[in-house]
Amino acid sequence: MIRKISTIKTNYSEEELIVLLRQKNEAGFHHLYDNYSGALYGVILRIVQSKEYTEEIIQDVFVKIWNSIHQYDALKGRFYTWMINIARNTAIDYLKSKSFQNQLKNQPLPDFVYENAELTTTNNSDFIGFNKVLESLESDKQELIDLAYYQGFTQSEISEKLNMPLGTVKTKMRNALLKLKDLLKDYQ
Amino acid sequence: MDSKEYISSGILESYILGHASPEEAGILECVMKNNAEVKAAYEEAQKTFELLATAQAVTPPNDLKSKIWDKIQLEQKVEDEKPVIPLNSVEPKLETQQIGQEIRVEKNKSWKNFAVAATVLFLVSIVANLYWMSNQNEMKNELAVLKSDKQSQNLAMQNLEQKLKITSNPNMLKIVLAGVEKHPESNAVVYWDKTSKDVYLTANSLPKAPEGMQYQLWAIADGKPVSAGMYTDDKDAKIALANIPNAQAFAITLEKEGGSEIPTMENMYVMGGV
Repeated sequence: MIRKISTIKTNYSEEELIVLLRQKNEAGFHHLYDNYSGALYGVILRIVQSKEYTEEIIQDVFVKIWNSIHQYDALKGRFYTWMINIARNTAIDYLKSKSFQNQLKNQPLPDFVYENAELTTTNNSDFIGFNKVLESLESDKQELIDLAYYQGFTQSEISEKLNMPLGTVKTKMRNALLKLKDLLKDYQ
Repeated sequence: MDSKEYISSGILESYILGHASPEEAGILECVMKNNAEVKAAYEEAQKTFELLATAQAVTPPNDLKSKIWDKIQLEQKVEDEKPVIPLNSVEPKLETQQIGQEIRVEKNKSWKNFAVAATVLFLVSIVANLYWMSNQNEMKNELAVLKSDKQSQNLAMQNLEQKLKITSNPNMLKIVLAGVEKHPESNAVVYWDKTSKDVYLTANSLPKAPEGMQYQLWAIADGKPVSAGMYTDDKDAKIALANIPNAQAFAITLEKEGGSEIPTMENMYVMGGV
């Protein structure tokens, strides 16, 4: 249901936001950025593990969201999930792209190691909280989420990599998600 | 496979992460349209991934927002200028970026984008075809079910219309037959056409007649019972049981199939005076 949009309003519902974005409205961009940039930035950072690349990729991600908002279909899934997937796919594609592989050769150490220290100035508590959340998952579940969510491995690729039957991978993924849901309750 | 098994098979996670095969995705999309449980589980799974993203949010650098907005506006400008200089649509954007080396990268990128777009379009069409093929049989079956549903609805409708014609006809004399002492719960209604003298009966509240037995309607004319026909479900308020020129009362008894010459009084269910 779309409520009436008043001009001074700064907080929009998801439906209103989509309408604004489709109209290429600048207020829509501000709301989009203010509400989702942190989460999308975090997703990308987790995947490419470099602030420098994350900053580059997130720009593409927002441009993609802005340009393909007409392709978003509410019947097929949630808006936030749609954006997360754009961020994931863009970041994973970036990782797989040749130019990045080449750049990587000149950068032997992923700078994610000291990324954490830098982050303390920004969103410290959230980030650490998240780490704890993943840590409280059993290690096999952690690995599954990491491979599927952050590295873009398909279930059959995971099955091959971990030498585990495909059916087991699928049900384990389901169980991992249920456990995660439980652990993430506090963030709701 | 029931809903719960289907949900726990991990298909939802696979679909959300974009790893489901076109067939799997097609099936899931179809199932979700018809199954609220699967749909709800899908929503939940999405929310979990969203919570994960929210929980790991990291504040981006301060200048990022304006950088992105500039980029969007630049693209917008290029879009707007397109009709004026259609052959050089990429150029205006590049002029503003100055550095020569970057121009080559940008161009490469945009060609790469076109190639990716073309590949994506191609894949999408394959997916659509696969989805379409796998769904065709299902659609045919659904169509057949719908057709037969429609047919039986039409029949039911015709049935109702015919009954309504009888029961709402002002020329009909309506005689309510009440349950006798042994069957206080039973009742039935006789509709007696005042001009044609045809007798209709609605008796679907009577208990189902046992095997080999049938309800028989009697017209009591001057104290003498005359058979007014055998009742069957399909005649109910629709087909005349008999033509009775004269009667003071009607009654129904349970008789052997095909009816009796004289009513079995101990098997009388309902009775009512005109």
